[in-house]
Amino acid sequence: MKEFLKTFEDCIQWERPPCATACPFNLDVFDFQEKVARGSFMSAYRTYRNAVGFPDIVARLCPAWCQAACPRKTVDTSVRLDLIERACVELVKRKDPTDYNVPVKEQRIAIIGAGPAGLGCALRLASKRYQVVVYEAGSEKGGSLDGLLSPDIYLTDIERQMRHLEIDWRFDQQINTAEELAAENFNAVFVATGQGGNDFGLLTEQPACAIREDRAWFAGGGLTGLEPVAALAQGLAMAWAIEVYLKTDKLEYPKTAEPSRTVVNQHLLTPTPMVEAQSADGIYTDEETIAEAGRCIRCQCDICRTDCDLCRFYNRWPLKIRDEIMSTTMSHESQLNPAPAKRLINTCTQCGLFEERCPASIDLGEMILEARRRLHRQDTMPRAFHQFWLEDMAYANGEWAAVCKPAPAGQAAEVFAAGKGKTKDVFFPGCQMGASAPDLVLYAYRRLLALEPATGIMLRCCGVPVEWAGDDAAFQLEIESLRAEWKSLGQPRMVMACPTCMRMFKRHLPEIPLVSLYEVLVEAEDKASIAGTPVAGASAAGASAVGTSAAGAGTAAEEAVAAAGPAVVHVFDACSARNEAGIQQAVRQLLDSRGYQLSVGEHPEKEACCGYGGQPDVANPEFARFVAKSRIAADPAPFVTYCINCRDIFLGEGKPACHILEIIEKTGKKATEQDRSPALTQGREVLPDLTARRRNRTQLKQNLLKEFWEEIMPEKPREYDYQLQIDPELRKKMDQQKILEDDICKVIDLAEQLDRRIYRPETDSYVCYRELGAISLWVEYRGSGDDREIINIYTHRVKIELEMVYNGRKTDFDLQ
Amino acid sequence: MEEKPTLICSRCQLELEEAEAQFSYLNSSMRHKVKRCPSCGQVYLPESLVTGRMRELEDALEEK
Repeated sequence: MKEFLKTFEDCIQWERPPCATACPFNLDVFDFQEKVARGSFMSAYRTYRNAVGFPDIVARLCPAWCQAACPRKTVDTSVRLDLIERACVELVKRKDPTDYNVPVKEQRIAIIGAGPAGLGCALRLASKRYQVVVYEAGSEKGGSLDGLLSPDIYLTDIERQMRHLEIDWRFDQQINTAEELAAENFNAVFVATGQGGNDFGLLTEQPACAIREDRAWFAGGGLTGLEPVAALAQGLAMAWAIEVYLKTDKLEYPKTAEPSRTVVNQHLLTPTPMVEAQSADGIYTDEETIAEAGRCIRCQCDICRTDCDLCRFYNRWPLKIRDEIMSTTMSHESQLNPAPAKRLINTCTQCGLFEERCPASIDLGEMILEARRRLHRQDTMPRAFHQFWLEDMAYANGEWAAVCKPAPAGQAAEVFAAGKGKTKDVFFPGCQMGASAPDLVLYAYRRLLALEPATGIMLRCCGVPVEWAGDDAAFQLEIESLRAEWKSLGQPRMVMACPTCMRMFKRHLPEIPLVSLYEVLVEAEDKASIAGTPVAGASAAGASAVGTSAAGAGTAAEEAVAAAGPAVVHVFDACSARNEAGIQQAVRQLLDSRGYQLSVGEHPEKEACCGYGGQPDVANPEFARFVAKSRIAADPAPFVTYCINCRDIFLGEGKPACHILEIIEKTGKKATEQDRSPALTQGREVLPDLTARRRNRTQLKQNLLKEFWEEIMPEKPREYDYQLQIDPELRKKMDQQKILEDDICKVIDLAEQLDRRIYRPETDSYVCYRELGAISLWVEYRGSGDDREIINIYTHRVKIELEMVYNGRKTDFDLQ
Repeated sequence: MEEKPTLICSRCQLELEEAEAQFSYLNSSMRHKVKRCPSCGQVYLPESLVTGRMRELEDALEEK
């Protein structure tokens, strides 16, 4: 965890905006603009006065360094902070400072020169009740302000701001040597004699300060070459340096601020014309002031807040998220120790977008993954969050779904006969394609075999669910088992259909050569088109690359498609393939060569996860939907995905979407508008429910073995000798709660075996429950014999403790 | 949601009665009055309880 904490040190969330670091007064621009924007001019004036000391003078003379720093100038014109400040000063009626009751301090400070720097320093020190003596060679305050402004204005402002202060003014008194001040018991001296003035030898020091005879000497302002407003700012800052010396005996010289490192979120910079003052004197009215302040985008690095789904959903800054994660993962026994981020940790999609976009390269995703591991190690991870997916993985890797086969001899007879019986490629479809669309696995494998007969298949899960669940030990076992299977197949190249599996392999099994299925398909089509073989041609109605089924394509259908115009689709790039330019390009080429037009949508660069990644759907279903809906909103065009999970998520939300393989498979068969984009028109109807997904996997294994190896796999024995009647609405509820028919049977089975169920005479139904790992499933059903009509199901995670130990009389434990 | 359904323990053939039961989740345990069989102690939790207060409790404990 420590290494992640370190990366947060570079977070620039609190970095001051560019205008504020350019401003010598350090004006709190956020605070000022916020007050102006809501029309609180008095409040804004106070903020301004506290920063600049003499608002009437600065508002008129400030050269506005902020303008050059404002990022708005890249799209239109910089925010006219100078005009806003000027208007603010004009709009406020009560400018008198507050008289604070501060105890008088003993230290005495001499200030030589009553110009802007000297005045600024005197103002600050005197307001803290230091004893300030100002020596001025002339007979009036103002110094270099004379000639720049009418004395009426600057003298009035100086008089006003210093009204409540006690300052010992010594006019017409030129100080030429340090000795002249020796008699007085000053603790510090500020030399602000103005341009070309006496520097008392301080300008040779670097910086211009020194301790001489137990007295600190500082030089600044016009003397060091600053123009009047900057000199005033330095005078104010010098008061801080003098105070540091008085309190700590250390010499510090005011530093100029480092330029802001903040990164501006470009989408905020929409061109908005600068507000022009309508009055003759060029001063804004209150409305104009508010409008101009509204152009300020309050520069703050918030790329994570707009790009990371997790930060957006929780409406939280990463620093806050960091603190919550740390508090949650600190090992502790007590219930009093707060663990506020348990759900948050299990909500991240692991899309990797945060760390990619963050200018400080903070790796929040990895930190969250590490937090999951910690929760798992501490046994504080709510098991229900990942239970379903771990069981799903176990099934996919189990005897009824997993296949690990070298190239089928029948297909590669000549290769094997030549003694080169080596599997060159192995197709790795991933575990979910076989569950959701088993035909696509068969289709893709046939295609691959046609291209390279020495292609085997490995049908199983890549193990990413255990990684996402934070179970590191189990994950290492998965990796080892994948490596062992790969070796057993003769260390072939793996042809990956799922980008998430591919990312997993790249990260954890770097020795395995990989290629994506889509690149293989494109390469084959390229070769075929060079050779002149008809492939899926320039039009959508072109013959398919498989060629065999193209015969059925009638000319009428082709014309129908031609009339309908090209289909416009949006390629939804999987988050795990964000940096896989080859795959992205391949998929686009496959679509392009089939006559599809590609739509880029409104935010092409913002594509993150579809909501499947990290499997947050149990821990935080609202988040998963929020993410899916955000992606859907990016483009009204139908999505074409190359990850089956993306497709399923979008279809589940009612968005027309299909997998690229569906398009490749259908092209050329019957080139009607419907067939060109099958899932696009049928929508979520093509989605199997969870029970069917498991059955599909078993069926797929049977079909694969039969078709390619002529092996007959035994039927999966039925564990329960009755059928369930479930209406479609209840099936939806089962899917939401991640309940399979098998789970229901397990509940009924136990209840009937032990006769532990509750009878409801009104409905003639039974209610029973059983603990299935981390969840308890309640089932209400009726019927017996061959049929059970399921009336309702519901689940909870709270455990019912020792149900049979009742009033101290029972001690049975027969409810598993 | 239910208008007081009759609930009979199929094993003991007794009507369920209100009684305390012990629950636990994520290292916390609590007691609550629910319908139980007066003889064998079989518990019945209605869906309204499960999706209502119990759900709230789970959510709270998962974030504690």
